[in-house]
Amino acid sequence: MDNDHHILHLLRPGGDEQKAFRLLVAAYGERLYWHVRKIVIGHQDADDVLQNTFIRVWRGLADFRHEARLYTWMYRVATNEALNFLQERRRDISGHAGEITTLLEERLESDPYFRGDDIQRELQKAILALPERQRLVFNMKYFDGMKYEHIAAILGVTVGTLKATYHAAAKKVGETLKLSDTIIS
Amino acid sequence: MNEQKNPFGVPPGYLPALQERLARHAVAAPRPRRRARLALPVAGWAATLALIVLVARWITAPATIPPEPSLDNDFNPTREEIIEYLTTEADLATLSNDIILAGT
Repeated sequence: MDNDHHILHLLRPGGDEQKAFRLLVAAYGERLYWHVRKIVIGHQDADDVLQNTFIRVWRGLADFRHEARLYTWMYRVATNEALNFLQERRRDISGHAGEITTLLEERLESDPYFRGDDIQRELQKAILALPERQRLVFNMKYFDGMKYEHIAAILGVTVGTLKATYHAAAKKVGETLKLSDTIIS
Repeated sequence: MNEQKNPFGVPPGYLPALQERLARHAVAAPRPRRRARLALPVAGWAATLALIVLVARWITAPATIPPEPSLDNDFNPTREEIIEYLTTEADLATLSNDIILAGT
């Protein structure tokens, strides 16, 4: 985020917008890839969503109002792109909420780049079973270690709501894992 | 992302090439013209000008006196009422005066 000041300086009138954008890609490209990947699961889908994210960022850069922090704005654009992607997939498969979870589980099972063990796979399945908002919050907190304040700014909710969401999500994941552990053993 | 917790992987060479590819791909995408920033002030000035013209016309326009409502507007006697009036109330002199007035 320290780099953001330099990028914002380049975005001022008379600055080098292309250079600013390249710095943005360098600072956020990989981070946003992992953020999107955990939402859409498949590598190819994540790559498509990431490209759309950066096209949107490039197009919106001139109108970036500085009301939000650059970091918050970038994550917000990526999150919206990923959720829109899932929304489109949901429409493609007749709109049943449960079917998108099934589709994502299938992606997870057939992912050639998944390098986790069985426990990690079960954890991912338990996360996929969460409602969308809980899944987002859980991923951002547990995997990315983001601060509540940052997640709250990105998702536009209060920290209190966010903490409650995270604890509810963590509880559900724990229960699902215990259940699957019982079934396995 | 916490690497120890991350179970996902990517194709070999994907991440090193990611930055260059994303930057190239996005910058090549057409950008919408920033019409809003130009159009908004122009629309504002046009609206202000139109308002000034309307106010000026309202001030300088001659006052027009609205026509008084005719008392006859609400008076729509039926044919029978007219015949009854003529036979009971009106004498021939009044009737001929009315006919003359109606003709003028």
